[in-house]
Amino acid sequence: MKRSKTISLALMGVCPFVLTACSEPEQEALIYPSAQACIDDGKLEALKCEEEYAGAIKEHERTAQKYTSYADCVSNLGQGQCYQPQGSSYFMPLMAGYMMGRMGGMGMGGQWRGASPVYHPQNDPNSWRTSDGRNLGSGQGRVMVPASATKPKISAAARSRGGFGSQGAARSSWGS
Amino acid sequence: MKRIKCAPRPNWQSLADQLGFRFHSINNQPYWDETAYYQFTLRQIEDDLEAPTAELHQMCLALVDQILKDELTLKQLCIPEMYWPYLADSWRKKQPPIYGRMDFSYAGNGSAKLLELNYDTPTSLYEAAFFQWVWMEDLIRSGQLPDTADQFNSIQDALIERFKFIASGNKKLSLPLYFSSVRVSIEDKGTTDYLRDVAHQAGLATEYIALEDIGLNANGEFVDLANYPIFNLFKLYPWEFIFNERFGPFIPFSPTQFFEPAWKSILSNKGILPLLWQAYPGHPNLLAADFLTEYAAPEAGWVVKPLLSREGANISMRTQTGVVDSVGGPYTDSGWIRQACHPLPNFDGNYALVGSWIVGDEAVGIGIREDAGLITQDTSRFVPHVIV
Repeated sequence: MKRSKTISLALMGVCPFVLTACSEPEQEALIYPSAQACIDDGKLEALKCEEEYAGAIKEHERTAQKYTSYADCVSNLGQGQCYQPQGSSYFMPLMAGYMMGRMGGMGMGGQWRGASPVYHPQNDPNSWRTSDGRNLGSGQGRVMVPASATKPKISAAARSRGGFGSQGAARSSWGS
Repeated sequence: MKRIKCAPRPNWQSLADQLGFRFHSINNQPYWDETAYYQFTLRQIEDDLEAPTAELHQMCLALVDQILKDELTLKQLCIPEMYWPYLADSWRKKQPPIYGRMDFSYAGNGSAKLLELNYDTPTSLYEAAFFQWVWMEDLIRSGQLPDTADQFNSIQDALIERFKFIASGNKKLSLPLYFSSVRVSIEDKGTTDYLRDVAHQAGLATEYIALEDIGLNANGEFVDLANYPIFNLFKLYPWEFIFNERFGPFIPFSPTQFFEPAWKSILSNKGILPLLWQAYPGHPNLLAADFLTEYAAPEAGWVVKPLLSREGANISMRTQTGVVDSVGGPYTDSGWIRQACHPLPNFDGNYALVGSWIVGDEAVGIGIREDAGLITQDTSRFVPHVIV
């Protein structure tokens, strides 16, 4: 047979599979306080645990809120939750651990990746939150979290839009 | 290869509407045309279309590697110099393509001749991969086609596998893959929506954003309307336009991975046709071609094409017997090539073009376009096919 075995549409058309979102869908995630905790849990290979941890640190440095004064940071995040990165003039929240989302979903047994940093909420050293304040509960290892909690984090608002597509209007047709 | 007239399904328009085929008619003329279909033998499909498509694809990939090391050729293809390192980088990192289409002149016998590659922004995908498949199943069910009938069309299966493959090799694809097209084209939106649908079925997280809505933040990241960074972007929009637009110069410094990747701009350039001919002179599936130093009306037996154009625009031809045809358009600002004229075969007054689809590196299906003229355009009708 030289044709597709089955065919389906999920999003297009008037009768797609409807994903009703009465409450926000949840997604599987892995949360660990450290690469070592990840390795000890045994769900991922050691190298993967370390790679993802390194990725989360980078993400932390990129996205975590930065404060110009230690006092501001502490009043927002609580005692013992702030530090000054080496060689910098600002203060940041302490990264408490990291979270990996399950790629995709749809029961494809996808892989764990896309690590992001997690933090402790103020006065709650046993729970986790994302950098933009979403509560992730207190579980460690495999947990369920709101799907949007594993989205990338905003680092800065758009400074400019409309830099793509200007020749579209001028030429009107370019598919080929 | 025969053209066989057949009765359209009485409900095809409402079915098309229900299945999200919003451009099934253009200016009240059917674009999807099931008043006829093309019938192939398995040998014609496998020997004359599938195998040459796969072979030509490999020849093209080999050329990309050479061209990227050759500044004179990059200049000849009118690719702005500031993007050369980015193109080379996208190739060295093996940034994966999703799909492409080769257009052939093929009459059912002899060698299919490659007219051009559509390797950056191919459309007519939904109708080839999906609606054509549904059409054939309907005709088998109603008894108009035997249940042994088949179709060269595993495009959707291949796309699902391709998206899974791409996701498995890319850490960033734990984050959404954004699909984008420009606002003014419902046909482009249709192709983009279909690809998004298939990616969703493959288990990827997907979003849609109009190309014009994409933003750029102070960190050099492209962002969506809610300012979330876009790390993976499918754009149904030509690289050669992007190169000359305001955000173009930011791309090499952004963390965004593009689909199709930038190295594909080399293969969507019609300069690839003379370069293929130079590299493989006399290949049975290629037509003689060379670069022109400036535009010149075609001599008998030649077709003149711009390096960069879409949908048949700005192409002019003069057949061996002196028949002249040409299509106007806005693509006069790049260089030109000429290619030996190999007119499309005519079936019952219709010139038929075979579009042969590549997904990943595999030849996986065809779609046929018909036109009353020799030059296939965006309004040329899509006609289904079967293998018996």
